[in-house]
Amino acid sequence: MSHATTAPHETHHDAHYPGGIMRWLTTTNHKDIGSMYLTFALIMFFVGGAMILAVRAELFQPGLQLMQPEFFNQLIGIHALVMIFAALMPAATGFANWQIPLMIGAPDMALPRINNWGFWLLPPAAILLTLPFLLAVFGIGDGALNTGWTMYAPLSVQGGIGVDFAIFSIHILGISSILGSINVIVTIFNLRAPGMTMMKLPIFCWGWLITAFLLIATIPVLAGAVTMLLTDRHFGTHFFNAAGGGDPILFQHLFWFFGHPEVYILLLPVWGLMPHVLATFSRKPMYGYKAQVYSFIAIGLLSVVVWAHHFFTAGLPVPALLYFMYSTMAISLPLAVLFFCWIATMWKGAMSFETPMLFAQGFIIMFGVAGLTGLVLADVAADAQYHHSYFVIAHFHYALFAGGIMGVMTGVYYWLPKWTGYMYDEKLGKLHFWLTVISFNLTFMPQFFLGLAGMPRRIPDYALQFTEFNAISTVGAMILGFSQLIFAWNIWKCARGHANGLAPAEGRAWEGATGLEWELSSPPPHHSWEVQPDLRQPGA
Amino acid sequence: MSLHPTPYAFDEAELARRRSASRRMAWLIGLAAALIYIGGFFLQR
Amino acid sequence: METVPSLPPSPPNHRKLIGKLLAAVAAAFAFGFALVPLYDVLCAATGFNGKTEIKRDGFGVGGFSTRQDGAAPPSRIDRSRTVTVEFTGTVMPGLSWDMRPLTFNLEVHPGEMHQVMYLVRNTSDRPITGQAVPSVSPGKAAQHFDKVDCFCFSQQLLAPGESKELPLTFIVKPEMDSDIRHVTLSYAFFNAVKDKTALNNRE
Repeated sequence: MSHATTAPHETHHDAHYPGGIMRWLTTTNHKDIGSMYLTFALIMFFVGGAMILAVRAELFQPGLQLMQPEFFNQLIGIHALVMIFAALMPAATGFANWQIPLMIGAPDMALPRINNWGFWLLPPAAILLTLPFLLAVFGIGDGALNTGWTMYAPLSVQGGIGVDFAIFSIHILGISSILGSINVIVTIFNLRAPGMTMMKLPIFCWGWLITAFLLIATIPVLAGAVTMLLTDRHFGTHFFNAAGGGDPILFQHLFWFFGHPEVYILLLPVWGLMPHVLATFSRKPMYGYKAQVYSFIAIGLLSVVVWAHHFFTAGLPVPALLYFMYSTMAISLPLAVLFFCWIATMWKGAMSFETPMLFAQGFIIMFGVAGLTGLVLADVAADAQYHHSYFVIAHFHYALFAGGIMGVMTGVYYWLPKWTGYMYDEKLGKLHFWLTVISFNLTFMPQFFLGLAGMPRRIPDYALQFTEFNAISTVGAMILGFSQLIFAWNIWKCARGHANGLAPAEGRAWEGATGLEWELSSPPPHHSWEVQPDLRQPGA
Repeated sequence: MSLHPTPYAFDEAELARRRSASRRMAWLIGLAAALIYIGGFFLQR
Repeated sequence: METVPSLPPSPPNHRKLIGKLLAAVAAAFAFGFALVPLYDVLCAATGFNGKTEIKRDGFGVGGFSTRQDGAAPPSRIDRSRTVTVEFTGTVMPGLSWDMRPLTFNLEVHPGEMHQVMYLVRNTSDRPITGQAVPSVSPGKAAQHFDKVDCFCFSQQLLAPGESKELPLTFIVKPEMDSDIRHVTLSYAFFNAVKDKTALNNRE
């Protein structure tokens, strides 16, 4: 492998760490913490997935077969919160922990103890979120949050203890996200290798940097909104209570001031890793680095001024509708720049189609569907019909499953050889990809048509004419859900690569890969870059 | 940003074949997209 | 755990940056709360959201009372157009009342003063205090819908089983855009008891 990389006391360091569970409780190593984030995300991905499979099973046929509407309402809301806050966001933070120090030539994250705390806040938060399900079994309270993940007042002001549990869970998750963001920003600003200017920063780090700033700007607003909700519920305030002079619509403004940037918080790390993957498997340098960085910044800025497009039908005045429509549509311009850069990166490339590249292709096409249907929803006149329909559900699952989760899978397959030191099973990876992409479209494509035909979201029962497409969607969802077991098995197999007889990965696991992280051995030494690489002398 | 040149597993002939294949594929997809777009004008509602 | 020589000790520029970022977090948190009064100001100023707080600019019956001698100001009634005002009302969960407008709609000339009645009845067996919250749509009309006197200005107490006719006196001001032909006034009647149990016992 490479010259500057081999840590002189590599094996020697491990001896100083406590073994067993204490190793994981007390670790401050960015790779250990990254692995914990990713493992936690994978577990919660299955928890959230199990919830929605129950929902899809209920929706297989019209009528109430499996559950009462109250329980149905709890499942859909907690599914969303688990997937967003406990699966996608921790997965992205896991990527940041593993990759940012490797990519910028740093020995570790800048704030290792904060890093450890940031992770260990997550399991209690996840337990708080889901505990009311269990409490209800024992007759305490009436179950988990039953308002949908948006927690709109006045419904959430009236809800049961599940709302309080969700509020506290969101507080803790928010603190964890902010700690993670501060860590990422400090690391990127202060620990870059000498000679790595901001415009030489790997684009994954740029994506994460914008995400971190968005988190710092918007998570506190959400924390404020749910705090107001809490005081409205228990301390006699009237922020959202019209009888006391408050305004329920205010909650929607506060929530979506956070909620819309949240979409880009989830997607920017994925947009950041995508050019690396495309460049690697096209065996070409990425196209339009600067254009992509500027697009990230533009999207980050625009994302905080478009929030009201989530409630066009709430009775906003026409000038406000027009402003939010045009500003929302304006986001498609920098996003189109990204799409064209991705395509141009592949143009005339010597492409090969390993699993990460397959996922990247699937990502581009299906995230394109998400973007185009988003433009339809951004149209005020059209949105009056599509609002709160299955069209919206299909749209944001194309954005957050095909865009977010399949993007994360791209990253996992791309970096797994680097993390574990073994090549994952390519056959299983390809099987996982094809099952995922086919069943995903089987699940969500019919939902566009259900929405156009007028089926509202968040209902446990529906009119008879929607039966066939719902049945198709449920079959797709079942295949999609169970296909993910292949993913988990593949990761497990790769993590224990030696026992499974997998081929060891080289430092540069992919022949077309470029960047500092590939200069290190696979897996990287315990302290990633003990001697920072010096980029001021190219070729050193 | 590579610190040293990467050794390619594909030989030059294979790389060239893949480059031209990807270019051909791009033109095909572009052509299909253009046809769908133009075809849209002839759709009767 | 031994210290690795090349691991840089937390340099002071870490602390400075962390301080700035924490300040940004605090500012964002404060901004969330600042949005509450900002939102009210915006709604009051523009009529967004149908809020009907309007400027008391001295507009009275027939026009602006600009004369010092107290004589009636010249008529400002715009007889060239009519506006249909629709009345509606909802009783919110937690209030055991019936409510309906006795006049469902009214054709008015802008500038005229009219009075309409709402009938409310306490259907429970205990006295209840209610508070009506008005909303005018379209929002553009809210600024020009002047409630001279309204039962929504104060809380209403109804004895068990009692019925009451509640009056509303209003003027649609002539400044209202002439392209608005319909105005809807909607009341939401809430239980005014400031007690969370009233809200929680909604069923």
